[in-house]
Amino acid sequence: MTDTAHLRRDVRGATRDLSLRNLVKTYPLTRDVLGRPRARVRAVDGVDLDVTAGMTVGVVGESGSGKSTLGRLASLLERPDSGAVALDGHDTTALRGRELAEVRRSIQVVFQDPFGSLDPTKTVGHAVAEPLLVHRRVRRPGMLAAAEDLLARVGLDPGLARRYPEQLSGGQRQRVCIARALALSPWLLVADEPTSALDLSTRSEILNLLLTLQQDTGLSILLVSHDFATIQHLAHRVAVMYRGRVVEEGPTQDVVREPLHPYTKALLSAVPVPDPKIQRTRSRILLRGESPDPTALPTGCRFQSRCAFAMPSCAQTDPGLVDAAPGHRVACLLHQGIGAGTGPTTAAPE
Amino acid sequence: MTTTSAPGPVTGHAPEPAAAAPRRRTLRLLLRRPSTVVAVGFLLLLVLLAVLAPWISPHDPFAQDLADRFAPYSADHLLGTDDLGRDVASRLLYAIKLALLAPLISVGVALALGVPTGLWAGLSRGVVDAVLSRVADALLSLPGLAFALAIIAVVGPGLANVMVALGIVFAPSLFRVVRGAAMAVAEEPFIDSARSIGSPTSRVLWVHVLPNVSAPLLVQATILMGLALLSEAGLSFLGLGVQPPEASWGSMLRTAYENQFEAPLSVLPPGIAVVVTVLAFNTLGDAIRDAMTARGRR
Repeated sequence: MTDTAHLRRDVRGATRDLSLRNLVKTYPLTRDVLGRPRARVRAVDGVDLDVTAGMTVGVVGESGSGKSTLGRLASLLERPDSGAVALDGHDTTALRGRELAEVRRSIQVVFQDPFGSLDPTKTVGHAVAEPLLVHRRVRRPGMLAAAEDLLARVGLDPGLARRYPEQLSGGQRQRVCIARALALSPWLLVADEPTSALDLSTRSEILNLLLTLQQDTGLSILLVSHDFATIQHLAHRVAVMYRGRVVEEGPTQDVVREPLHPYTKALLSAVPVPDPKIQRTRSRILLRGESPDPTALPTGCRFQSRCAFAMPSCAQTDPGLVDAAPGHRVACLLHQGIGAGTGPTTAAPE
Repeated sequence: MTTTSAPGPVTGHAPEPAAAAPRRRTLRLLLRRPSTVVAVGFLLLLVLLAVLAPWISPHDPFAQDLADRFAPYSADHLLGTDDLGRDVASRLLYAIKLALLAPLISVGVALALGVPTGLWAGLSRGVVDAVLSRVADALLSLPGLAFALAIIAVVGPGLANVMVALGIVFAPSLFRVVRGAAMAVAEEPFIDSARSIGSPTSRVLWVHVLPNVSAPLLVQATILMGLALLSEAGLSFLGLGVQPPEASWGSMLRTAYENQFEAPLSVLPPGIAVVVTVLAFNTLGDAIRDAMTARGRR
């Protein structure tokens, strides 16, 4: 057959890591007559994040929090305005052409929209084996066999290789996208809302597939989602984003059990609990107040206008991330210099 | 040689290992309408006649018979004779080759110029797009035939020059079509997906963008074929295209026009040939557009 042995090669053991350092990415919102940007949105505004081998890092936040932009920066689809995307300590932001293509091999992306992310004019087999073709791992005659092999890995019928994307269901397409992303044996998979376009039963199938793949191959995953339940299911660590900043970051268990930032608490209170008795009596934190204008952020904390615990000092000081507990960082004045555990522990009143 | 079937040179670009189900469906949709079948059939018939012309034409198209000028339609001269006594039917048959080749070559030149630039501008945007678009706008602002005349004035008359000139005139409109469609396609996630696996830009353009802009491109190219034939006839009519004694429908029209008082009916054969052929090209273009949009709507 073809040289598909490398597809099953275990990537565990390779000590690799991706570190995002002080990333800033702005998008022009309006332009003046000469086409110069007049107002800019700071989609990602000074984010540090690390992904190490074999780990799933979740990025969670509401729409507009910059989590998808962070995913695009991490997957090298966009260049940051400033800051570094370092792979094994080497900054990738200045790479172009062949070097960039080489680095991209090790970071693959699964997109949100399984309908738009497959070329309608290409067969499923072509989509799945294309990465191998581009990087000259297979030649055209070997594509079909390689594609069938990959499709089997994600639990799809290899016979689908001859079909066109329009003949597949959403869940099947997302599996195809995952197979395509796995073709080059990347060490990191950036999954930007991989399940939000799917219905509930398909969603868990895809999440479990990701989980299995990670356990089998030691794949690292950067999972971007608006849904804390999804993150909880998969992620070892979680970063909560709000308006372009990471406001809380730590081991998922710790963050879920003892959320420190008021925004994290609000997000978590929106996640339903499987037990109806508890769910009925649970108090949900409703965020009040206006979300700040993304082009003119207030001085001080970005969350102050919606925070139930806002203090006068919140309007002056923009809190940075500090360690509240080992490996658990939070950007909130309530926890600065006071230490962990002494923050507000009761849920906000309705 | 024929460009009349739906999977033309554009969509047939990347040979796929699988059954081309959507492509075959487009073809089926295309041939469902009687008018399309007639148009395609007519164009195929023209190809056949062009190939068979040396064997089936009743007379030598260049043989003059000055004693028998402006002969009326008859059993011997089916469509009569022209001012030099040459058989009009034979000349008409021989001219089919030109009538098909001229649009093919000029649209080919236009495709070669317009498609790569359009794809590049649509995908890269920014300065590249701004410069190319302004050039295209400038060219589009010139009246087509006058612009072609200017090019011919520089490079001299002759069929090859006319075809290339027409190709240059048509290129901006193809550029526009391709650029617009490519811009829409560039927004699709599968383009990001192609980039994320490390495909070079050229591969993204040819393998992923081009097949997805082929629908409007094919429509525009087919309609330009009709326009090219018309323009070639016009330029040959003005004496700039085909040089005597070579026959083209345009130059035959000119001869007939010059002698319309002696032989008023002689404008009909080349005139009808031009009109019907252009109509066939346009009908086909319309049908391709309808078939493509019908498929897209599913």
